[in-house]
Amino acid sequence: MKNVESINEEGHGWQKGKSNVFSINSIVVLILFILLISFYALFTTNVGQEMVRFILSNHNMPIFTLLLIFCAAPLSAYIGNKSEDLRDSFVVNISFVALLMTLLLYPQVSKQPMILDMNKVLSFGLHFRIDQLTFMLMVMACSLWFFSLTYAHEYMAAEEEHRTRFNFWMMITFGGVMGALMSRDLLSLFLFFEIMYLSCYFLVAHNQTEGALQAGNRYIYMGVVGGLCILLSMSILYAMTNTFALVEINQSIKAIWATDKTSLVIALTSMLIGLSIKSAVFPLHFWLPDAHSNAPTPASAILSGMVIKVYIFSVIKILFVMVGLDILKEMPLSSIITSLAIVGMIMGSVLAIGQKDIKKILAYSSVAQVGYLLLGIGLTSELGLSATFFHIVTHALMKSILFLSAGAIIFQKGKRDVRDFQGIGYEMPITMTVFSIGAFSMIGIPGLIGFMSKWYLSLASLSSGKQIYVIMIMVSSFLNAMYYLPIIITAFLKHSGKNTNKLSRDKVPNTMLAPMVLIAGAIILFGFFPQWLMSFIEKAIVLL
Amino acid sequence: MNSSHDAHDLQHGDIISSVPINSKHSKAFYINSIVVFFLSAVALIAFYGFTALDWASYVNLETGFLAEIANFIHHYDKFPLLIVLIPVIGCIIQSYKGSRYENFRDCMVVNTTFLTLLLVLAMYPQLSHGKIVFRMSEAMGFGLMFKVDMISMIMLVTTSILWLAVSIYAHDYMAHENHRNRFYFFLSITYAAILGTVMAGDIFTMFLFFEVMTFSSYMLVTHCEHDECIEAGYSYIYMGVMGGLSILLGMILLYINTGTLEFMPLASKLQDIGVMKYVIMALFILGFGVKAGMVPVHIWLPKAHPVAPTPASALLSGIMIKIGAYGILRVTTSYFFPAASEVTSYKDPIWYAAKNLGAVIIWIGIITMAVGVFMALQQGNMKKMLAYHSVSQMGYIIMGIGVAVYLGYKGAMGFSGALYHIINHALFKSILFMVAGVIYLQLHDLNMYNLGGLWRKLPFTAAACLVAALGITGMPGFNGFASKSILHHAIIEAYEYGHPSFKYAEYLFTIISAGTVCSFIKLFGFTFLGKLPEKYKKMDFTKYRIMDMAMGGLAALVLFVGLKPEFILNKFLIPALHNVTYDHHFIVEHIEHIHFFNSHDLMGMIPVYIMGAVIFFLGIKFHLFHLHLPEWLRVEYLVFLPINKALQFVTDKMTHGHDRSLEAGESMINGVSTALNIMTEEHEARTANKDGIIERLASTISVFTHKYEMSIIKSDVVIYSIILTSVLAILIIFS
Repeated sequence: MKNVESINEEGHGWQKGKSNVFSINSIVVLILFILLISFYALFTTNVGQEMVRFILSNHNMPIFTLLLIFCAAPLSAYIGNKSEDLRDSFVVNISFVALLMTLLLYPQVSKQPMILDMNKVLSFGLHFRIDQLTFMLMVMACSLWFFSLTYAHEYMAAEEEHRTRFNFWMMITFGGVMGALMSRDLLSLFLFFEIMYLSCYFLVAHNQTEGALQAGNRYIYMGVVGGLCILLSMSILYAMTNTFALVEINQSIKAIWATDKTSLVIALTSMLIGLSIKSAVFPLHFWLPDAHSNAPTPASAILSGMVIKVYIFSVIKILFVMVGLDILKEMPLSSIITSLAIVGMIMGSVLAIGQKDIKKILAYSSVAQVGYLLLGIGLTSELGLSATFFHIVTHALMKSILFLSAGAIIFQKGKRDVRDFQGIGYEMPITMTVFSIGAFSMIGIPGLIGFMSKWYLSLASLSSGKQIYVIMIMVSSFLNAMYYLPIIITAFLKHSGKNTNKLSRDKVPNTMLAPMVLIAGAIILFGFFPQWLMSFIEKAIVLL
Repeated sequence: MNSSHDAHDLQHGDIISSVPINSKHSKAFYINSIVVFFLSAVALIAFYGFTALDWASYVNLETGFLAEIANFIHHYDKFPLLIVLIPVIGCIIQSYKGSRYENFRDCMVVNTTFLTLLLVLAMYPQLSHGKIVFRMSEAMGFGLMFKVDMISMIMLVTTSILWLAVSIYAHDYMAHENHRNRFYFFLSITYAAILGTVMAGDIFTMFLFFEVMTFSSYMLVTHCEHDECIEAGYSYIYMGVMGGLSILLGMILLYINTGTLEFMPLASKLQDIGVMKYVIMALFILGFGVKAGMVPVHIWLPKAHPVAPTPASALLSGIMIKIGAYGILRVTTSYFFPAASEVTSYKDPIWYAAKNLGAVIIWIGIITMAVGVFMALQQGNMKKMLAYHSVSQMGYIIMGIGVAVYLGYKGAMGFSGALYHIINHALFKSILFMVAGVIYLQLHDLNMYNLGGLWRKLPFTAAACLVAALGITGMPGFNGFASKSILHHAIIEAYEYGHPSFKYAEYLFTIISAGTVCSFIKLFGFTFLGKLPEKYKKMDFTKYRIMDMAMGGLAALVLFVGLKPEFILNKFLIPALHNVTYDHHFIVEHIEHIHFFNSHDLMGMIPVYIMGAVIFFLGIKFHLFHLHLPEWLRVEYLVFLPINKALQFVTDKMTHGHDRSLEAGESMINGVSTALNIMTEEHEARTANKDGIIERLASTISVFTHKYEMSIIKSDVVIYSIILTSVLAILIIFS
């Protein structure tokens, strides 16, 4: 009898394992079946065609997306009081829906830039414009948010308090970023900037430790100073041109340049200073390392990955759309920007070498990467701009996985000091592999996306006849190697004292590993096929 | 024996005791590798038969199954992709199965290598009358391009044969090391990367594989994970990255100036761009020279090769450093040479740039030879001595490349000498490293002054060592003789057709050859002859037969090349010469009818051997082999010490300044905690006075950040406003 029982038990266990697979399979088949039926129903009648037409030609889709995100923020707070899991899945779903809605814009965007005006809002009106580059950055932002919110579910559950507040401000920042990307006049830009920096303050200071609060204070002071600079410049420009729209300012700016040079220069300077504080251009960067390293990891990933890029994108809009190439070439701006960029590239990396905290190293590395972005802008050529856009994408991917994998290390081991990383490569092989991919991409190993962006940037600077910049890019790459390689070497090759290095799987939840692995895959994929991205950018750059 | 080596041995002993040798269970591997060994011997003999002895006439290749195979071999153009992919696929399977089935993994390594060797040999028929070009235009923006010609073929065959021998050898050796799975994984990746590098058709593809090789071979160098390894690994990886970046820079400059990256004659395009062409070439030579162990960027090599596990160091010395030389050869003879249609004679002005470049390369080669041999004579550690000999032999190869470039249209002799020496050095140097590995495995001691009389105990190893030593010293009948006499002809031609100062180069060449002879008399004498130390008398030396087989195979090749030197010359080198812009008459006149065993060359070796013996006896008598150069002559010292001192000075200044300001009573927000931070920082800096340059830089920067950035951060918005207004002012002034 006993024998039969044990066989039964074994059999039962076996069936259990099987039935799991079976039920998943049945669900998938059922969903496929329903989809098939509904497709059939839709496309045999008019309803389907109408629906597709509505989706593909709905002009107000971006506004719906924005509204969705901003409405989801308070809703998530409301749901968060009931159930944590429900809130997290709600937030993730919202970011996914936002991604889908953004992707659906493509048919319209690819024909011509979409222009959306809401003249009645805020007395001056909100004005949006979505061209292909904006579209690309919006897709980038949506996917980054989707990934980091997925990651945040487990990470925040174990690490921090006040998760509802965190999610709320993440969503608000998301809305701010999307809005700022789409804006086509100074006022809307300014509005979304302020939303962004206020909400980012809550992300930076989220941990409420002394360090985080201090970093937050610094962040908000700098943000206010930067905001005021932008406001000053806006009012000067409005006084001169009587409009906020970038294109309209561009039309009258030539006349002003001929008559009133001084005030235009003051306006532009203060605008650029404001933006460079916010995007942490080298001598004005000191708020960034503390702010980005004290924020909870998912927030650091989006702060470094996307938020500073929004300001860089606005710099591009202002310089190339509002001011225009002709005036730009008469001002010495290009040489100032490139020299700032070069100094930033080198100094950011040099300062990173001295750091021991992993998140601080990554934050300083962001300062250096902003230098790369500025270099492309400062070249004031089409090649340079495309290199910058390519690097925006590149850096968003690289820096987000570097932060996410650093977060996973902090999650599992509680270690932030890179000198204590001995043997982590064996305890968390997937995480460290992902980290290494990001780091190698930063250094510029061919086959990864970081190499291609260095390559394009070098070609752009050489075609502007600036060989010294290429040498500086190489020096900066070598400096990158100097602080990234020791981390990898410590993790994989040094013994952790007690235990010999034995390979075991990461003890990090899968929802944290999946985003990292997916982004790492994207880095390798685009490393081998950069032209998919680059040809898109090159086509789109003309329409800027 | 010094104490650090003692510690090294002790650590190693621990590892050995923790990992038992499983030779009992290795039967499957032994059978498999014996079969593969004989199959590859058959394949090589068949290859020789078909190419040199005209066996094809005995076989019916018109119809039937054989005809289809022949047809396939003659027309298939995806060989390059297959050859790169096989090791990669192999390594994925290995690491998936490897941790549980060690023997399966090791068999897999041997078999994939064998398969690659067969595919490489199968490319020969197509290459003997053309090239194989394979493009993947979708990848990497610029598209990857493989272009296999006879020059690549020489490298491919050498690599594959060596890899097969080493992977057979590695099984028993690696049984004593940890992390075997990781080792084999990176071994296969390195293999694929090397194959890709030599098959690349443009510098972009070459660079891709070259960088992969740098990083994967780093994992081989630091495999043992001792502090010594990590230390050596740092200098390896940083110099590797630096070299990679300089290649990248050169590549970008080349692309901007010529608009192409493909390997093709570009001399006429580069002619007009002035100094820039020398900058481009200097960057390439620096980048590839780092890998090739060229003086003065050789400093990683003598550190990295001894600490790597022996199979890895055999490959590092055997092939990896040759990839650097191959890179220099490929880049200089394609980009700096004009196309055949643009040339009328070797006096054309278009050769002017090549001539300048070549002269520099020759002297770099000579210096590399001299430094390598001189340092090698001072070493007691066998692997370290071999590593310095690698530097020296790379000097021969670089000198050959120099002549190939310097003489331009008539440089064929230097070209073939360099390529021939690449093959030969790969064969004998890997045997020598394997011998050192066998001795280490048995006795755990590599200091040759502690050894002696081992030929009784290890007769086969001694014989292999003798063959390799005779090869490297250039004894007629062994392979080194052929390449060295070609290189000797080349340097003589350099002063006959070129500048008379190369006469001195020829003298140096002879003296350095004598130095090589001397150091191998020393190696063989101290290790295998003389009296066997008491403690080794009762040891069992009969294990590891399979390692003997690997060494034996290579030694047989050394003998074969030595006795039939004209086979490689006629079947590989002369077809390779036709891929480069060289004078056909010159090739026909001077190289095709070269007679290796002529009395002049044979007699020329006698003074070399006599001089070597004399140096040896003088050295023993006056204890010249224990000379230690003064500390300040080391390259690291010359370059890094000033930087190190300067950084220390800056750190001291900054921390002292801070102390004083505190004493003056200037209070700051969180002043006390900052001061504490900085004081501990300073303490660290003082205790670690012997820090490496990187640590020193890091600590200086962190002091800098503490001192300036933190204080800026910790004060308030006032400072921001000051900076803002000043920037504003500057902008206004500028506009």
